[in-house]
Amino acid sequence: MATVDISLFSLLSVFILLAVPLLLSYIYKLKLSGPLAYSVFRMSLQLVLIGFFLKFLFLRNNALLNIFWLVIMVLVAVYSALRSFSMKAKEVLPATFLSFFLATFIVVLFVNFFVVRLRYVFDARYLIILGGMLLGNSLRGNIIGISSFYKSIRKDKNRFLYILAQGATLKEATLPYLRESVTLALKPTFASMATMGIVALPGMMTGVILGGASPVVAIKYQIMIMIAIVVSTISSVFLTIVMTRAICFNKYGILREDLFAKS
Amino acid sequence: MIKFEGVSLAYRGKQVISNLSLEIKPKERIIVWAPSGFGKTSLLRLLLGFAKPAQGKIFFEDKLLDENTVWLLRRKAAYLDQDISLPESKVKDWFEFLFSLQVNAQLKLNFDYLGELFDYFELKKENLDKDISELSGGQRQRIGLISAVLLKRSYFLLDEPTSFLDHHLKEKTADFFLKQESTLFVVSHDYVWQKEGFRVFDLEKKTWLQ
Repeated sequence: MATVDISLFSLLSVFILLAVPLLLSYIYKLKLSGPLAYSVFRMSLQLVLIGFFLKFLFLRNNALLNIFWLVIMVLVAVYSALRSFSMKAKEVLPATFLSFFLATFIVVLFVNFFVVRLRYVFDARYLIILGGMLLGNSLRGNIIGISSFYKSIRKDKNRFLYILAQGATLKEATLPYLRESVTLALKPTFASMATMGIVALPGMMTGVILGGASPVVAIKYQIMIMIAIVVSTISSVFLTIVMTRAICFNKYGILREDLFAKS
Repeated sequence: MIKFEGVSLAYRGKQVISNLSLEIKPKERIIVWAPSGFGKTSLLRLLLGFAKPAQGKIFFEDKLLDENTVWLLRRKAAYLDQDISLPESKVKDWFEFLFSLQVNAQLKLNFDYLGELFDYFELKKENLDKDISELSGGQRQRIGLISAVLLKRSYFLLDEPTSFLDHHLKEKTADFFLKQESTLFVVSHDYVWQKEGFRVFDLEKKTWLQ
């Protein structure tokens, strides 16, 4: 049993549903039609292009090409994360990229090799799709964790300096903030784990089930991906903080305000 | 030894300290006096490396204060800021955090001594189990002073350390530090510090008062 294909014509009919928000927007003057049209158009175009591109990737299934695409995905994730920390990208980009990439790549390879037991661990279907899921799902946690680390230190400026003045090393002075950030970063993942399968049928399961597999297989994949998400989120938050810490503080142990956009 | 040599500091375009020279010899007890706005706090911030002089040099134990020696100074000094920026935790946990730092690895939290200090500074032992945020300004200031004393450092760097205390406790605090062996560097506009045993430097006029 394979997924029922949707013809192009039928797909267009889903757009009819958009009449509801458009109508509401018109009646209540929500001013939603512009942003809605833009978002829908952008999302559709992006997906159409990605669709063709993925088809090409799956066809070639070349390890280097697949890794290259994963690199691009990580770059986009890092870029959007940095933008929401309001941090100047140039100096922290390499460190953030490296930590996001390692946290995703190593976990995906582990899963591909030990769990799914692929003979070809760079298989596009698994490397790119699972990698994308990890990135997408850990992005929110990453943003929360990393931005809270720097935000709390900036907010707590006097306290932080007071601890430094007590003779603490930079590592010791930042440790309480690191702990707090990792905990915060995992909160959304823990929350979604708590309702998993009951309230939300996650994308992974939906995909596997629509793909024709039994719910039992879908659940196995879902458990695997959730654990992978927790591991990659915690690793990327941790690595990013540790690696950007070497850049974001000057040699006196003081946070470099010049790296942060004025808020 | 701490030495300021022709130090100037500007903050937000305003000259806070200009061409200051000041030397503090080992074991000296120096009080820097000035009305507010004459850069008393900045003086300590300069020492701790939280601000950099626009001009001049600062020496600590005969070494130029820079990005390396500043860490040494922070390990040898006990600092209390005027806002008493203690973290949000229980008083006891704060002391434990302090003693868990590498720099204090040789020290052990001596609860008998802590008890004596609590008695001297008229703090109840129950406060150990309270959250720091529950304490009054005066209580927090005394906790900050006790932390500084417990660390047995060679230098005390104290910024307005009696600002939240009543007259009786101000006197007791000044008397307490008269008996300490370490070099004392207090910046304060409190007259309680202008007594026998302290050398007072007027930062406004840049002269020694006594």
